[in-house]
Amino acid sequence: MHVTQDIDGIQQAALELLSASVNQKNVEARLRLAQPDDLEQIAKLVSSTQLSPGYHEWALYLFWLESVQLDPDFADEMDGLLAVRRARQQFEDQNPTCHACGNRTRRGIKHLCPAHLKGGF
Amino acid sequence: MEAVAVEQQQAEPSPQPQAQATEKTVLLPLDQPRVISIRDGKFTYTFHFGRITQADWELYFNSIHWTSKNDGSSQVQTFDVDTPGVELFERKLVKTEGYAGTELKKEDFWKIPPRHSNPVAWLLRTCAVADEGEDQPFNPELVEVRLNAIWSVLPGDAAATMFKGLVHRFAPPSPEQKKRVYRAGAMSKIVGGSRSGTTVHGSRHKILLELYDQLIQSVDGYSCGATAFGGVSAAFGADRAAIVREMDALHKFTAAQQLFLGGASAASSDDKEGA
Repeated sequence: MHVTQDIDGIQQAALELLSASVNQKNVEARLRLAQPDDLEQIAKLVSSTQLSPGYHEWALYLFWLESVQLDPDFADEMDGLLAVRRARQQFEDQNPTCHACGNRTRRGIKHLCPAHLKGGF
Repeated sequence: MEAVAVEQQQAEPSPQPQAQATEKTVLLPLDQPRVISIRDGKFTYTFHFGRITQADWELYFNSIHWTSKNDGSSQVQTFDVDTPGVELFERKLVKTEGYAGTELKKEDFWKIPPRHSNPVAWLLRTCAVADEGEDQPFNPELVEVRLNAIWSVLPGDAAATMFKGLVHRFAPPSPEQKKRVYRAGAMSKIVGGSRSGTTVHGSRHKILLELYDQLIQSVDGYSCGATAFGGVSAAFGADRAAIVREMDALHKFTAAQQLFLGGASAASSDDKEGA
């Protein structure tokens, strides 16, 4: 199966990439704390995915295509860009931006806003 | 910086060239047959090859097997360039010297031991981007790529000549050309029946070879024979048609690949040979 033809898989891959970008700072901080040879702990930082790596590569290509604003030349690119757009919408819904501090928050998890905490202690 | 050739002396018993020796300005002779000698113990074995054409290199690139899959939380990659390398070695080998008994014929080349064929196959493919610092600021109108490469390892003292700083100058690629390269690299197939199967990665070599021919402006450090260049064995200079016709396709691929680093492909393993 060609990765480019599995639109749902591409959408999932795009959503995983967007989610990973939110977690990046957290992962970097935990990596600094982990021992370099503690592979078990480091492995836990890797976000689990059921998708074969080719999905993420195609999704990255679509993100690039979107960012340079080149017109899609093929139907698979057009379909893929729509899947990326849907993934972004899904991501926005799941991770709304806090109006006070501008950080992403995860829906359903209480957000301790630094803007509100400022001066509180 | 001028392209220079560095002689390397082989150290026993390794069948690969190692230490550095002298530097001299020599042009890489693209039309000269490739001869590679290796020393194994007390003996020297010499391998003579026919010219490796673009079609041969394309066959090599097509045979590279690159897959990846998830295994728990880690990713397992398989990248096989050894098998196509040895196939190339056997396909282009025309004569051997140094083995006991009667001279090996084409149909006997499979009898050459892997401890000889593997290192020689690597030497045939020794071509890499020079990692020395640039001595001029980046020119976006004429992008320069420098390569280091081995062409032949001559018998006798079995000294390899490392050609350093072979220069390829390109017109900058257009956004559409970048798109073609990134698209080719990102297109892959999944085998194994589901989304969690094995990714068989796409290959960009065809497009990179095509774009090399479109974008190359001039090269330094290479020469081609008297016949092809009006009786003068000289550097290519800016003869675009001659460069396109005569340049070794592995050098084309390695140089062209550098034009597309740092874009979408940064996340899709640009450093993979043949990818």
